[in-house]
Order: sequence, then structure tokens, then C-alpha cells
Amino acid sequence: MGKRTHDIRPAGRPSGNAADHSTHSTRSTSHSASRPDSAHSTGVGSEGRWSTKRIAMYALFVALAMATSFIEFPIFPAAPWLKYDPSGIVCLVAGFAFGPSAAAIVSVLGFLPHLFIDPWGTLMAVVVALGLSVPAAAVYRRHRSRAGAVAALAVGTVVALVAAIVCNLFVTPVYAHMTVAQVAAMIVPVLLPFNLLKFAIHDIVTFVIYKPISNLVGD
Amino acid sequence: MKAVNDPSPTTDGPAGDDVIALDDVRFSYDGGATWALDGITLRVRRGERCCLVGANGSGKSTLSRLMAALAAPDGGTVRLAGRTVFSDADGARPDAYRQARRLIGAVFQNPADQIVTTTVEDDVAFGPENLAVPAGEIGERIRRSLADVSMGDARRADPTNLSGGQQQRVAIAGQLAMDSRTLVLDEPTAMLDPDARLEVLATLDRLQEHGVTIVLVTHHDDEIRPTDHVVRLDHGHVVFDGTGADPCPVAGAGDPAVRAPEDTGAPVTTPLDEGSPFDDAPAPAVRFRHVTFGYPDAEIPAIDDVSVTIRRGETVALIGHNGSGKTTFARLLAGLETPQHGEIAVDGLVVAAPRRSPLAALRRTASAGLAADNDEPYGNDWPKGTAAMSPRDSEVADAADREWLRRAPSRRAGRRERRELHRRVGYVMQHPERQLFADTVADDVAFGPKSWGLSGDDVHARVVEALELAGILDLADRRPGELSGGQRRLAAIAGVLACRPSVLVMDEPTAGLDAAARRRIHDVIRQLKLQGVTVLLVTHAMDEVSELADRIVLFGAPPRSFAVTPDKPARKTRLRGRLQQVNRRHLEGANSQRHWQERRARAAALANGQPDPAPAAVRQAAPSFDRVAAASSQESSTNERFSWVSSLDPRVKALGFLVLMFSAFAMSSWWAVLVGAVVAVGLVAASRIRPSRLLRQVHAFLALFLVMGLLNVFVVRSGTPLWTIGRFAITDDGVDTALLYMARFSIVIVLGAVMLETTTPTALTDAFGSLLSPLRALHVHAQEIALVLSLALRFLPTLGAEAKAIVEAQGCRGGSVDSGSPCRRMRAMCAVVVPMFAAALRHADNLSLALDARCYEEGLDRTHWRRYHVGPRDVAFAGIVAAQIVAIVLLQL
Repeated sequence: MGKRTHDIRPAGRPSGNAADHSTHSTRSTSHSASRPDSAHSTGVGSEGRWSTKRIAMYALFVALAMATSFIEFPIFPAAPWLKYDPSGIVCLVAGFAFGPSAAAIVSVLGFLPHLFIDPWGTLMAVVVALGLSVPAAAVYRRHRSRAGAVAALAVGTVVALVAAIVCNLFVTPVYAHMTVAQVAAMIVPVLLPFNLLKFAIHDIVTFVIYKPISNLVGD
Repeated sequence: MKAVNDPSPTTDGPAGDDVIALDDVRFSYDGGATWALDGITLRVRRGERCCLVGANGSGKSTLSRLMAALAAPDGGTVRLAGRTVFSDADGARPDAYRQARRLIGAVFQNPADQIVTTTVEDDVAFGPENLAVPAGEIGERIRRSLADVSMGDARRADPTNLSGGQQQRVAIAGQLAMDSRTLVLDEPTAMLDPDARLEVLATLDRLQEHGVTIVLVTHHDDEIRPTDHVVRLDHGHVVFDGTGADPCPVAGAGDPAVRAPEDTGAPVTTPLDEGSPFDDAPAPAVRFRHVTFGYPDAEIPAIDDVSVTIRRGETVALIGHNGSGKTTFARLLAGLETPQHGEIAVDGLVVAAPRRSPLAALRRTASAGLAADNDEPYGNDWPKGTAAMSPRDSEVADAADREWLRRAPSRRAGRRERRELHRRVGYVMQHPERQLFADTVADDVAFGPKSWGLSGDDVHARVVEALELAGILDLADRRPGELSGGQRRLAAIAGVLACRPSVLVMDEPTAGLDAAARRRIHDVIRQLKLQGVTVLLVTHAMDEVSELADRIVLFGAPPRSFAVTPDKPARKTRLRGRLQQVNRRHLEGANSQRHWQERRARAAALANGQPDPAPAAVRQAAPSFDRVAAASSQESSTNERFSWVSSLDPRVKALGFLVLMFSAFAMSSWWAVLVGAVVAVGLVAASRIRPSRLLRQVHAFLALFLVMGLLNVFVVRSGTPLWTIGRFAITDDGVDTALLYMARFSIVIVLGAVMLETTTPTALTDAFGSLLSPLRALHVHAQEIALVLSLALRFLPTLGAEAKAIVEAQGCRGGSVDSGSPCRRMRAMCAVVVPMFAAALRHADNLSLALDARCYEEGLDRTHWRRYHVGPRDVAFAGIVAAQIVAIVLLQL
């Protein structure tokens, strides 16, 4: 992300000479094409896909997803056990800002603290978050515009809706003595409206906040 | 330009032994349009202390990053630790930079953002691990470097619980553990209170005695000692390079906190005149009566039996050292906390009060000539009842009434009263600019009025009024992100003013601002006073107190936990004496360099655990820097929570517990539940956790249990009907199933709680990384992902605290997610979410620098200080897990 180009350096210096100095064979050489000293880089730690900057960004986004995943509140009176938590917004924003792999990392790691509290619920939350944020990030990566964002959110919502309903079919019987058919009977009156409402909030908030945030990210 | 003097004649290195040498260095953030650093030539010699000073924006921080090998310049020559890391001919040399970074440590302004794990010792180990120091040696390095900063006792502490000064010392230890003999510190004391500042400076003094070279960026003139090498920057140029006292201090750049109030010539307090026009006000602006408040888990209350009355239109300064209760007082006043005892009334509105004392109620109703109605619930006349009492009445109130207030538990006002309170009280928290969220300043300021339901024209009028008051009307259409720190602060304050509070609480509104921005905020406070707004100002700056405050509320004054200054002129002298006492303690005497040095030395001795600190003892007390190999202090089983379960290999434990938890969901008979219960109870016993702790965990799930139970009861139709409610029949099978599902879910929750109680986050992330490591073969960045998880857990509480502050601040401006129209709720949500992301990004920026300073690189071959081995216990545990699964499967057949 945001590698600034720097062309005020004294001319005539051969580009790519950093590779000659780098004796570390463990480091990726795919960056030797771009000078390691661009944008004030020292060529240490700030290069590659997992620069320290990127690790720090991912970490804080994961922490944010964790923090928000604990803020749960019911939004659908018909099903008080289905609760809304805003962590999906963090997954979506991470995907928009840094791409599908970031969305995947935030979706998976963000729910890990719940694994030892509610194991099945956590698995379900991870699958749904992945379904929402990874396709959306993939679409948005290709179409970086307002229309692209709308399309991305729509695709993500559809995938996540399917994922949420399929997961519920299998996970609800673990918590309540119900057959898959009984759960299926709840799809139209309960599961579909709840999840639609939930993703609608996710989508609207993401759409509204993404621009101010992308200004901050400098993307 | 060369160093004018040799500031360290005692240096043992040969002449020209420069640790850092810069020649004609240039640096630009905007591609050469402007130069943050222009033609810097500088030498730092081994063992000396080089202080970089200058106004905000002069290039100090940028220069310190170049010196710490964290960034490369645009031109010039940089030699660090004897290596040419950058030259015009070769550009940046990654390999030389890598070596230099290992020899030069860096410490930054924000203490918490440099700490990467949830345990102090693991944090110190992080750097050596990145340098692939053998695991056996890391333990000794941890011991030695923590001793060097006098933090040996805090090895196992959670860094989030440490004070800022302690965190900063841990950050220094993290650099020392990497064998850094040079430290570059970028304003390490800027975010610390005076006591913590002293701690850190004392640590630096001691390190330097042992030969560590120190580059200190500072804006406190009192941190510079006469023998120090001082480099003053101005607009990217070196304007002074010499020893000791600086001949050309920049006007107004000094920290006002070090100016003694006597210097201003103004009286310390300006008592209210006898005939103050505000005296006739019907109810005081703020009245605390016998208020006591303690945070949960705190041993002593933050506020203990405090009574204070603040009249309308007064500007009152709340002063006292950190932790003396100033902010708690402000939070109580703003209705963000509820006191345990006592009564708080703000602007005639009762915020919190115990049920009315029967005696007082009787007296009041009798004097009012009304029929006594003592059984009337307190809530009915809540807003008016006690607030009608004038301060004089409260003096008359009998001892029984007072005793009642002191003892009876207080209740907080209802939702409507609290919303009304937020309308009347404006609360400018510390760093309010962190709550800015909108695209333009005007939109942000409009948030409060809109939340209070004003119409478009009224909102606009309020926004213009508030921006004018703050003197930033010209910034209305600018984006908050592109403003300076002072302008952002003013914009955030305008956002509170737009709510037209009658009482305004400001918590350190000028902290961290330069002189010009401070003056503008002072002007705003004066304007508010003219408009009759009551202002409560929490501050450490004494010039602010003498300039602005009518009265002072002093927190933490012995012997009582707090004192209000009397406002009768006759007692003025005593008041002054008190204030000066505060002064001496807080505002370390800039005029007495010797006094300051003594204080530093004493702090160093104190930090070493010397009972009777004296400067002479420092040398003996200072822990040895000699590289004498002491016995390795690898961890033994001294952990106070040590148990059979906690000693399991975290990888085996995590996997085993997950298997147990998932298999519990397969229990479909009471016999299977019995097996699961026996295993769970056995593990609880073997983990030596107090059952009450576990009960608390389960307690959180009661609501879920209820819903699940009801669902089961209604879903199961088989069996004999017990009751019939409408169309639904509750059967014995239904009840049985509900109980079974609850029982097995309880087992899952208890197992999860045992796991989390016996495993540190560090062990958990280590286990996660270790289990993930086989994926490295598939080019998955297992090590990096594990680090991301570890850092995320570390920053979780930090972000949590920040989220709370943002929600409260926006709540005080009327923003509420759980009431109002969907549109208003959505706006309230954005007002919380955007600042949260901004906070995450701000921490990430700081953290990435800290990772660089610890020499972390992608794909690094690291060592691990904590090593885990699968032992006989782990095998036994795996056996138990297997046995439960076999039993469940057999019982299913």
C-alpha cells in the first residue's frame, strides 16, 4: 500500500542497486526492481507483502474486530437470541482498504477470542464474515468507485446471506433439539429478515464511513 | 557545522569516535517542495547526551528517526554506529541499516504503543528473539535489562496495567535487551505526568552513567543538563549546536508547566467579590454533597466524602496530581459514573442521590406546610425535590441528614434526567480531537445540535455561533484531518459548545498544544465566562489557573482527600501557601537546576527500592551493567496460579479443550452428560480455579440459557403434556431436553472458562503460531499471522478504552445508537465508528515504528524464548480427552 514515489534524488544513480548490497538471501528479491530507499525506506522491515506497517495495520484491525464483536445487541424482536454485532463492518473496511487476504485474516482472527466461549457460534460467525468480506473485497479491488463499492457490498451480502442460512440449518440443532426441517421453517419468518437487517446495517455504515477512513489510510 | 564543544570530556572512546554522524542531510515529506530537514550536519559522540530541541514542526522527530536508522533521508551522508548507511552515491544500504538498527535503540512518545505483548518479560524478549539470540541467553538479557530500568519486580505484570512512566521504562528495557548501547528517544516524557517524567529521566541518567549514548528529543528545557550537547532546530536547520544552556530559546516555546505562578505576578486566585452578580442564582451550577465513588477493584475510593458547591458563572480550576480524582469528579458531574454515596446536583438537576432521608423529608415537608407523604417513591419528584434546597439550607441540614447522605447507597437518575443532564453539561474530554469524525468541521460541530433534534436553520445558527466562539469560523468547510493539532482541538471544543451547555467541564484542554493554540483556548474560556457559562477546568498548568480561575478545587491535599479554597480574602494567604506546595511537587523547579538533579537522583534510588533515598546511594544501588554472566533465570514454577492444567503444553491444551468442547455438543443422553461433567469437574479441580470465578462466567450466559430452554420446551412435542398454554403444550420430554441441552452447554462454558483462566494470551498465541507453522510449507505467513494475533490481543484493551471514551463523548453531545430515528441512530453510529478506525490507524502507525525499532522483519528466522515440550502430563491429558470421546461414542450406540 501507499508506496510513494520519490524522484527528487540526485539523477544518475542506477536503480535497483540495493539488490547488490542486500546479502540476505531470505529476503524476497522481487522488490529489487523498485529501489528499497524509495519513500525514505531503509530497505529493512518496510519491504515485502508483510511490512511492519502492514502487520501493525492488520493487528489493529483485528483488535478492532475483536472489540466490536463483543458489542452485541438484539435488533430483531422476533429472535432475541440472534444478536447484531458491528464487527462485520471492520472486516468489510479491512477488505476494501487492503484486499481480500486482509479481509480473511480479520474475519478469522477477529473471532478467535470467542472460540473458547462459544465454539460453534464462533465457527459460524467466521464463515459468515468470510462470506461477506472476502467477495466484497475481491469485487471492490477491481472496481474502485462508488458504483463498485455498491456492487461489492451487494455481492458480499448475497454470499453472506446464503452462508448464514446454511450455517444456521446445521448449527441451530446443536443448541436446540430441532431437526433441519424445523430450522428451515424459520428461514423466511426469522433468519432471512434478521440477516438482511444485519447486513443492511453493515453495508450502509461501511458505505458511509469508508470514504473518510480511506482518507486516513491514505489509500 | 561541527560540534562546538566537546560535551563529554570523560568519554573513553578515541577522538572522532562518533556514534552518529550526519553530513548535509536533507529530508522532504512532499517530494522536495518543502524541506523538513535541510543541510543538517551533526555529530553525536559515544557516551554523550545529545538533546534535540526546537519548536513543533522544526524537524526534531524526523531527525531522530534518521538517527535511529528507522528512515533514510533524501540526500546527504549518514553514518550510524560506524557504518555508512546512506550516501548520495549509494542511496540506502539495507544491510548497513539492518546492523545499525541493532546497535541503536529507539523509544517513542506514546508509551503504550511500543509494547507488543501482554506480559512485560515477553515484551522485553521480543527484540532478542528477532535477533535470533539463543533462547537460554534471552532470560538473562530480560533480567539484566529490566534491572537496568528498575522494573525487575514487574516481570510478569501486564503492561496495560502499568503507569505511563513504567511503560516507558519497559520500552527502554526492550531496547537494552537487544544490546543497544545508543538510545534515541523521541519526546519520551511528552505524555507523562511530572512524577513519571522524573522516573524516566532518572533512568536515563543512570544508563548514561554506565556508558549508554543518549539522543533525547525534548521540549522541556528543564530536562537539559548543563553538560549536555544541545542541538536546536528551527525549520529544518540547526540554529545552535553546543553545550548546556541554550543562548536563543524560542519565545513561547517553553512548557508553561515549569513556570511558577509567582513569575506571572498575578494573584494565585481571584476570589469572588462579595457582591457577585451570580450569587443570586436560584441553584448552584454544581453541588456535590458527601459524594464517595470508588472504581470496581480499587481498594481506596477515587473520591471520598467530597462536598463542594460551584456557583453559576464561576470558572473553577480542578487541580491535583495524577490519580487524585479530578477526572473522576468530572465524570461524576457529567453523569458518566454513579457515586456509591452522596448527592450530586447540576444546574438544579439531581444526577444521583440516595433515597431521601426520612428525617430530612419530614422536616422539608413540614416546613413547606404540606401533608407529609413519606412513602412516596423518591423518583416521582426526582428532578425538583432536593435541588430546591439552597446551599444555606444544606448547612442547616442536621447531622442525621448528612450521615444519611454519607452512608446510604446512591442511585443514578433515570434515562430522561440523564439526557437532560447531557443537554446542560458539556464535557470536553482529554484529547477531544480524537472524536472528530465528519468530513468537514461544520458537519462535526453540527452533530450535537442535530442529535438534540434542532431543525436545519437552528443547527446552522448554532454551528456558526460555536465556530465564532472558538474563533475558527474560517475553518468551517475544511477537513479535520488536514488541520493542525491546535485547530483540531478547537474544532472539537466547538462541537461541545454548539450544544450550548450551561456547565462546561474541560479535562486538560491545552495539554500538548503550543503557546499560540493555548492562548486561543484561554480566550474561549474567557468568552464563556462573559456569557455566564460555568467552566470547570482540569489542568496541570499553573499559569492557566492564575490567569483564568476564580476559584480552585485542590484534589489530593492532605490530610483530607481534597480541599476547596475558601473565597474569603482573609484566608487568601493560607491558600497561596497550599498552592505553592502543589507547585513544588508538580512543577519541578525550573529555577533550581540543582534541586531538579537531586530529585532525579532520588527518583533513581527510589526506583531501586532504596528505603531512604540519598544521592550518595545511587551508585551502589545502580544495578551492574557489567556483562558478568549470572545464573540464568529461566522460569521455574513460581507462577502463583500454577496448577496441573496451567502447566500443560498450550498447544496440547488448546486442541484438547476444543475437542472436549465440540464433543460436548454430541452428548445426547444424561449418561453422556455425566461423563462430560466428571471430566469438567476434574479439570476445574486440577486447575485450582475458585468455583466462584467460574460461576461468574456461567452467569453471563443465563439469558442465552433461558432462550435456549424456552425454544427447546416449545419445539419438543413428544412426551406427556405437563401444561398447556394456548396452542402450545409443554411436555415432560420438552423439559427433559431443555435441561439436557442446558447441562451440556454449561459443560462447554465451564471448559472454555478453565482454558482461558489457565492460559496467558502469550501462551495462546505461541500455541497458535506453533500449530500454524506447518502451513509455512504452503507459503502461508504463519509467523506473521501469529504476530498479528498477539499484537491484536495486546491492543484489544487499549482500543476498548478508547471506544468507551468515544461513545461517552458522543453521548454527551446527544448521540445515541439506541434511541431516536433510524437516520439519527445511523449518524450516531458513524460518529463512533469513524473515530475508532482513526484510533486504530494512529496506533498502527506508532506500532509499526516500534516493530522496526525491535528489528522485526518479514520471514525472519526468530528464536523463541518460551519453549514448550510435550511431557507426560500432556500425554495423560490427551488420554482423558480420548476417553471422553470413546465414552460418548459408546453411549450413542
